[in-house]
Amino acid sequence: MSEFVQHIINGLASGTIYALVALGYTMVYGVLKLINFAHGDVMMVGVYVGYATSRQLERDTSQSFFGVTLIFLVAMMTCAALGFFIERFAYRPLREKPKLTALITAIGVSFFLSYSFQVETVVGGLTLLPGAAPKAFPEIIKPTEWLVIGDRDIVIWNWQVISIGIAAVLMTGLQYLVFKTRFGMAMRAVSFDHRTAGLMGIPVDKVISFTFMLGSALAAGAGILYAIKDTLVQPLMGVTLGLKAFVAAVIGGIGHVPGAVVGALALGLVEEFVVGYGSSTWRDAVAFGFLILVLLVRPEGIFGRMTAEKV
Amino acid sequence: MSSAAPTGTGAGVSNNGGAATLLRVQDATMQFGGLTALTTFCLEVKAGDLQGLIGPNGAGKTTAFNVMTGVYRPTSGDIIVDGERVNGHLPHQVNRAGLARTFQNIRLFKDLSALDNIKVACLADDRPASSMFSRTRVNALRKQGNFVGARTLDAWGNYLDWWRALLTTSGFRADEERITERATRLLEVMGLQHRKDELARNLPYGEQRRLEISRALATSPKVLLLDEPAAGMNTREKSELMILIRKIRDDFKLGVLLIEHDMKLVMGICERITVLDHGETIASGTPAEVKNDKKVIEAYLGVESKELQA
Repeated sequence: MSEFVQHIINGLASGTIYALVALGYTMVYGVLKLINFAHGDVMMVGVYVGYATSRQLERDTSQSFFGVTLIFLVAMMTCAALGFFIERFAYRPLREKPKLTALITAIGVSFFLSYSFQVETVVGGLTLLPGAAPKAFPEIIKPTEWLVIGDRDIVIWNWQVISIGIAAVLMTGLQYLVFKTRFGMAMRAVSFDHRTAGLMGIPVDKVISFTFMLGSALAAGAGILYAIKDTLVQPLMGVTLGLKAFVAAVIGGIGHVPGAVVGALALGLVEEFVVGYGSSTWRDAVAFGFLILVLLVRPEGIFGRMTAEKV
Repeated sequence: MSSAAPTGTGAGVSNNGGAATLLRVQDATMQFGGLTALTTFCLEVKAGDLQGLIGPNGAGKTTAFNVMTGVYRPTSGDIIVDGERVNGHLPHQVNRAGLARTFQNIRLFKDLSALDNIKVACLADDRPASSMFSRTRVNALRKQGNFVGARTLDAWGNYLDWWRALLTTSGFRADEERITERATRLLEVMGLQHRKDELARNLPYGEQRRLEISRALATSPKVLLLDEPAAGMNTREKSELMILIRKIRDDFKLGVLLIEHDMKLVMGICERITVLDHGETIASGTPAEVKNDKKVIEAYLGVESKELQA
């Protein structure tokens, strides 16, 4: 029993990280009907920015509350800017073109980011691009046992609490923003019909770039949480993690904000149980098998709405 | 052409002889590849005007609306809203300049409640008059002819708003309440207050049409463009709607331009009518003038009928 509870906790902790990335996919899909395949790579850039920032700080500072907050803020703001530029220069010119064009472009942007980061570029002692060699993410949060129940039956680590906490705060904020504020209303209006929204005085372009900025910032936050747990940083990390988060968004019903969170938590739990009770070799296979299963039973995802096609 | 004769052509127009011109379309032409959908279209709407735009199917009426509201950029010609030349501007910029519209096929945000549909449109006019980025200030810049400045101020206002939304400042919450209040009042104007929290998709057809009009009004337009507002309504609903449109024009002091198929209706309500056929303006004037225009009769009944009459 205690083992089961332990797995649930671990699953939720990794699920919340998926959730933060999945929210970016789902929001962008919501407003643009575009799967932004570069999203995982934006997250990877965020991790590297966090890495670089923490290397600039003293070891003690980077482990302080101030240091951690600073690392998160710098990474999130840099990624927000990156998201803005990707949308502005890669996707906006293709807005009125067929959706496939933008999709291929997204894959292109993804490759561009993940492969250019593998070219080590140092200019005047300043590392601009990190190169392909994996790096260890600094221990900005020292792993300690937060709660131990019984004779080490259940161990909850501090980073698990922190990542669930940060993720919960970011997700609640997003939920509030999307459903309770007029910006969220504009976002939903653009998502429903961006032409009409424009004719009703909503600045469609700005709503879309803001959505990208928001999603990219969340991804950077998620990436750092992931790096704290996993410690390994390398330029291709965004591809797998991004793909998993995309799967989570599809499971929840892509375009649906709470759906992405539920899908991500489900995926996190499924993976954890496979690793816990089976073998870690099967983890990814089961994760994608889970996707296939959901698509067979409910192609629109858990929360998605089925659109009947008129004949 | 309507632009050339603001006075003396009919009772409705001469009443407004002194009113400011809010919308002026000058020789607007719209070509799609080799097809000319609209040829040298001219129109002038003043405050308090109630004008009609009619013509057979495919005459270019909706194209004219799309050209005016920034959906299409006219191939040549000018669209001037309250002194600002808006062709080539994005739809939301045209809307903020003072042009709001409804659609032939209802295009509400169907997944939002009736109230939220209006609140969304209130976004275009959401800042209190005292604020740095208020619409009053933006309009003042427009009046001075500083259109770039007006748009920049407007854009910065948007960015500021999002930060306030993210940080949920108290001022932001106050704004939010003000918008809700304004939206509720607009629902009342159209007699939809009982539908406040219902999803737009669940409203009956006639109420959806009315909701679309109140959504357009929420953007505080100077000229309201109605694309077949009475389509699909029965005779009684139609006459009620027409009374409502007149009332809106008087209460909000707007210019109204409407597309309508029902000739009887247009003749009854509009003070001035422009008739399009194959993209060309074939007549323009008071209902009485238009009704007896030979070209109009031909366009509607075909040439054969003329031969029959002869």
